[in-house]
Parts: sequence; C-alpha cells; structure tokens
Amino acid sequence: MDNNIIDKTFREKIDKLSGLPPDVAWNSENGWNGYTEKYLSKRITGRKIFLYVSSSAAVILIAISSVLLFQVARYRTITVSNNSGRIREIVLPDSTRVFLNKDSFIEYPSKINEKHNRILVSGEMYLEFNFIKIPQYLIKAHNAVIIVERPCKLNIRERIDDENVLVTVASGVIKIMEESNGEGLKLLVTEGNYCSVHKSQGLAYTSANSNNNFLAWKTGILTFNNTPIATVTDILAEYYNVDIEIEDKELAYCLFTGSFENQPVNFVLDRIQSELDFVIKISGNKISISRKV
Amino acid sequence: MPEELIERIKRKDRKAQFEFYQRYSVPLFRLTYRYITNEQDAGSIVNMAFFKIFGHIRDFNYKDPDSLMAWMKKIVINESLMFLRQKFTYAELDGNTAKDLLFDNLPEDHLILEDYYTLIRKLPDDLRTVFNLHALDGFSHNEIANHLKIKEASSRAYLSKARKMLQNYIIKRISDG
Repeated sequence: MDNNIIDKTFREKIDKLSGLPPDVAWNSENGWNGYTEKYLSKRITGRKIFLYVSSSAAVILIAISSVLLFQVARYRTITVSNNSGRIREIVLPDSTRVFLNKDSFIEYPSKINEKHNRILVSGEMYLEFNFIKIPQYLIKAHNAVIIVERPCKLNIRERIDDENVLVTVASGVIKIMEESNGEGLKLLVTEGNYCSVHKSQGLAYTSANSNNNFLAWKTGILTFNNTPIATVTDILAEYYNVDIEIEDKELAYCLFTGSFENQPVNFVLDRIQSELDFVIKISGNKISISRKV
Repeated sequence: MPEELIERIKRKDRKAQFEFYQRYSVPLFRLTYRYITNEQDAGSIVNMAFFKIFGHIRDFNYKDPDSLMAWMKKIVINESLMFLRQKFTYAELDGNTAKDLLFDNLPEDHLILEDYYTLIRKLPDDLRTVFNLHALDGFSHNEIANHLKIKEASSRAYLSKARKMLQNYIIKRISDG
C-alpha cells in the first residue's frame, strides 16, 4: 500500500470504525430477513417440490417393485451396464448397494445364495456390502478375485487402459487373490489399504492408501493437502478427462492445498493459478501449466 | 469460535448461518457501503456475498480470524465491483497526475472518524471506487486496471483526482468550522 499521507490517514481512520454508519436504516436483523426471503425460502420451496416428487416416484417404484416381486423368478444372470455418462446406483438382490461409474458393468445372479455367489465386474464401482447373507461373495475383476465374507465397502477399478486392477477398502476387510495363483496366496486387505493386481504378470501387493481422492468420481469432492502439482494434475486429468501438461518441470514439485466439491475444471484451475502464481492455458481439452514470466 | 461456526455451516446448520451473519454482516455492510452509495443496493450486495460465502465455505481453509475476514472482504469487493461495472463503464483518463500533497499531515482536529467515511462516500463513483481499492483495500494499479478494464495510467489518474478531491473536502470542512 502507498504511504501517501491522504491514503494513510483515511486508512487509519476507517480501520478504527466499527458498527453501522449513523445514517443507515439497514441493520443485521432486516438484512437477515432479506437474505432468508431471497435465498432460503426459494430453496425451501425447491426442497419441498423435490421431496414431493421423490416421494411420488418412490411410491410408484414400490408399486412396480411389488408387482415384479410377485412374479415367479427363475435363477438367471443379470447384467447391468452403465454407459450413461453419469454414476448409476443399483441394489443387488441381497441389498448390496453398487455405484457404477461411467462405462462400467456388473453381472450378478438374480438370486444370490451360497451356490450363486459370483459377481463379475468391469470398469469402476463402489460396493457397499452392508448385510452379509451368505458365507462368501466372489467378485471377479479381470484376473483379481475379491472375497467378501464380512460387511465392507470397497472401490474396484478395472479399466481397459490400466495395467493393474485396483481395489481400495473404505471399511471392513476383504481377501484378494490372483486368479492363476489359486487359493494358495490370498492377501488380506483392511480398511484404509488397497490391493493392486497386475493384469498380465499376475503379481499382487497391498499397501496403505494415500490417495484421498479415490472416491472423487462418486462424491465429487477433490481434496489436496500439500499435494505436489504433478499429482494434482494427474488426478484432475483423470477426474475431468482432460490432458494437462506441466511445461516447466520444476513446477511439478510445488505443493497445493485446496478442496473442491462438484466444481468445473476452470474453477479449480483458477484457484491453482491464483494461489501458486502459475499461468494456465486452456484450449479445449488440453491444458498447459507454465511459470509466470 | 469461528472454526466451530464454520464447521456447523459446512453441515448446512441454518442457525449457524444466522449466527455467522449476525457476527459479520455489519463490518461487511460498512465495506460495501464505501463502494455502493445506495443503502438498498449495498444491502442486496451484502446478502449476495453471504450467499456466495455460505456456498463456498467448504473450499475455504480456515487459518485465523484475519484470513476469514480477508476472504469475505474479497468476495464483497468482487460483488460490489460487478454491480458497479453493470451500472457504468470507467473511462480512460489522461495519465498526467496533479501534484497531490498539500500538507505534510492532515489537520485532524475538526473531523471525527465518521467524517472520513462520509467524505469517501461523497466522491464520484469512479474516483471512489479506485480510492477504495487502492488506498483502503490494498489493490495494485495493475489489479485495479484488470478489474475495471482500464489502463494502469488511468487508475493512477483516478487515484490522484480522488486524493485531490478529498483534500479539498477536508479544507472546506475546516474552513466551514
């Protein structure tokens, strides 16, 4: 700031002021009333409409489900694919909840029991086994076989372009084996850890999960805590499906802290740009990061 | 404690929003009212700022009360500038700046604190905006130029004119007694 006498004097005087100017009718009471009227009552109305619509939809769904439940169900395999470009949630016959990421599929039996306990998956999904009604589930993701015997929540990632199948345990415990190794080598993977199974070499290992953003595809929340920019850009590229190049390599080690929820990529990049004094250029799906000259 | 209040707001606690509003709306109104002379407009801008504050508070990493206030002030100033830009455009000014130091120090005995606030609000919109941004809120001329879509030289010229005008106001107040 300038040391100009006028600026300095006014700054010092203004800094000492507190309370409202004497000539205003505005106060925090009527200000809050205005705020609730403009910003909260609409939301409340919107919420009511949403609740009404979702309740009606739920009633209709229950009616349809009841009809379906009364049908005589023969055992069959059900395949669900998610090509919608959005996350899709399904519930398996035993109440297991599955959140399917884009371009993912799951195949499971219409009746899950001891004899019919195999689930085949591809792509990326988050499974919540809240009620274990059979001794064992076997989930096959490429050459990884995941054994679920107790309540747990896990994220499975098996993408065509990935070299490894990645299984991250959010809660509970699972066992994993590589298909060709058979039952001989089963790895125990507990909460906060992940297992990686190499698709062609058949090697499997488990380690602590340091990637806070492994569920960003589902939650929409990205969190960085003193994260090197190289890692930040990898995560953003994956999440937003863009190409990001760091032109000045030494920038890769700069650390960034910030969290975002359901924000567009431009918002995130603006924040990085302003906090770390970078120059970020966006051209379609291609983004470049360079030092400010 | 602000941290606790912020955590509650992140959980969409309506009562916490109200407490937060009660605590911070007055200083933020005072800030807005320096930029926007119409009281009703200033009130609307304060509320718009709170809407954005509550909406983005999850992204905010709280360090201390000063950092919280600085963040909120930035939002309020941005909202005020957006409002002002909608109302009129800032013309480019001749870069020649008048000599603006008349006193080594300003005679202060005749003026109370509120008078200084009133004098700023008396300035024309363009001069007041630039004076507020540079002298009171710490924006550089480069930043002001980017915000107001003018050249840096124009920002300096506006500031110089504002200082001159404020000097004249003070002299007149003193001579009027």
